[in-house]
Amino acid sequence: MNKNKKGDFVSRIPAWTWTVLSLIAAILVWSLLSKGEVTGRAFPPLLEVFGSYTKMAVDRGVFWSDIASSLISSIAGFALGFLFGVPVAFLMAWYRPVRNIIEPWIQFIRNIPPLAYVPLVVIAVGVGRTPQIIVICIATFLTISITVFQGVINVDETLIKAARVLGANDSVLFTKVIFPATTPFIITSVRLGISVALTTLIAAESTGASAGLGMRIRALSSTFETQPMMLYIIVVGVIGMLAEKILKFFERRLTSWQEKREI
Amino acid sequence: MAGEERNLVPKVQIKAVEKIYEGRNGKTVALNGVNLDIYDNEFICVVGPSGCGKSTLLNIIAGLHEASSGEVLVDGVKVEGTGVDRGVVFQQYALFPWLTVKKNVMFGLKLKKDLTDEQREEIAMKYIKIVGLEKFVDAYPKELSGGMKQRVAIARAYAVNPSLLLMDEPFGALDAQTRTQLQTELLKTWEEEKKTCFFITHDVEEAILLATKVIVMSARPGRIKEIIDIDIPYPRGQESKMLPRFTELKNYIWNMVYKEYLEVQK
Repeated sequence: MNKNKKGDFVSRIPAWTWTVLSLIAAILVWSLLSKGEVTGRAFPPLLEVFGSYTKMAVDRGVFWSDIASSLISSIAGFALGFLFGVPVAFLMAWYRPVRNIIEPWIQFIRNIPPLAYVPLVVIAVGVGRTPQIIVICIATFLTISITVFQGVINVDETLIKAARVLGANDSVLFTKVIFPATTPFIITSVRLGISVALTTLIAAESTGASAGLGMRIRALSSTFETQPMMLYIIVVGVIGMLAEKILKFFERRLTSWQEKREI
Repeated sequence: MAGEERNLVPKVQIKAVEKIYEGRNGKTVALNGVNLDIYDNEFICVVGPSGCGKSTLLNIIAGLHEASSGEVLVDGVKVEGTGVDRGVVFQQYALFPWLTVKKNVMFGLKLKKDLTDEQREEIAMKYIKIVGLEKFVDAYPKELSGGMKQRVAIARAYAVNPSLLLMDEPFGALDAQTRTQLQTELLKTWEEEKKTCFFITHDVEEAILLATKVIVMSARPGRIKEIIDIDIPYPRGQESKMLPRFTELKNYIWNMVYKEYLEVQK
């Protein structure tokens, strides 16, 4: 329930204040946890975590190349997944046989953890960048195609009727009605796809990758280097947040026509 | 109540139209042998209890649904699919939310190849002015009230200049005041242009106010129960509702609809 009234004390506080407060609280909680004997093992002091940047970036010189490598793999995998996912979603919604042929497979593969089929991909295409891209592509494709498909079949029937009686043929109906009506779902699919691409990184980079955030997190965890590992985990989260910001920017421009609850 | 002498060809001929839906619980007969002729410049209002198939009939005339048997001819041509000669206004407005008011009204015009862009613009603005929304040409549907949305939908239907206008409870979702206002506007437009209308409503008063003929449909299976000529003089307005003849027609039709409603309840 939104009980904020105009002039209310709470509503007069600028919105960013809450974000800053939340960040301070998180730092406090972390500091407390790092003091505990048991919890301290998982939560090393924050300064040490950020301090490990020097170790990774300067001493070992891998920090930025790890980020670059993961970005290349996830962007390439995501782009391919999107490029295949959107048309497949429209085809499934448009032609029932296509749907009956493809949908069971999507539902079948969707719930299998990518880590499980990674070895198969490596056996098929060898090690290197290719298997990483393929794994991320599969994962994002599944999410994107299902989400966009739901969007297409949920297009308001009366809009289609209205377009038909105004003289729209199939191609007009598709480009001028179904496609724009599906835009919000395409944006949602991108949002979910980005998230899937990032969460699949560890699996994708367990293919004998020589660099990458996921690969490094695994490597650091096996040598019990908690501080740099935490740093890498934070980096993955921050990349996700930045991607969301960029997406929001496009969303505002593409779907401002949408009726939304004022928040 | 006999109609006047007709010696012209009907604009719309509905011939033995039947519609059967096959669902999980067997067959439902939505329309059972509907015959009706609609002449040029008539304003037909269809009333009847929910589920009497009035929307189904409209959808068949529009070409959005197919009749199970029988046929509909418009200007002597058998209806097969939709056509711009038949405009439709839906209860749920059905505006394209990503288009502004003007672009919504221009949607059908853009599909007409024989018009120039200036002509399209001019026609769209003409109808937007008629429905009184010239200040909202660049607004998106989400910024409009229900009544304004339906005005846009009406302008959009008129803009492509259909020879027959089909309206499926267009004012059903509006509040009483807005509804009254839109009725008056529609009445005025019809008195000027005399565009043939097929209008579905569950509001008997609305039907009598607007119609030259009211069609009462019976409950499942849907069929035409009676056709009543409305002899309320023109120009009509909300004050026509005060006429004794209006009350008389209202009681007559309302009783008939109510009886049908009771049938459905059984």
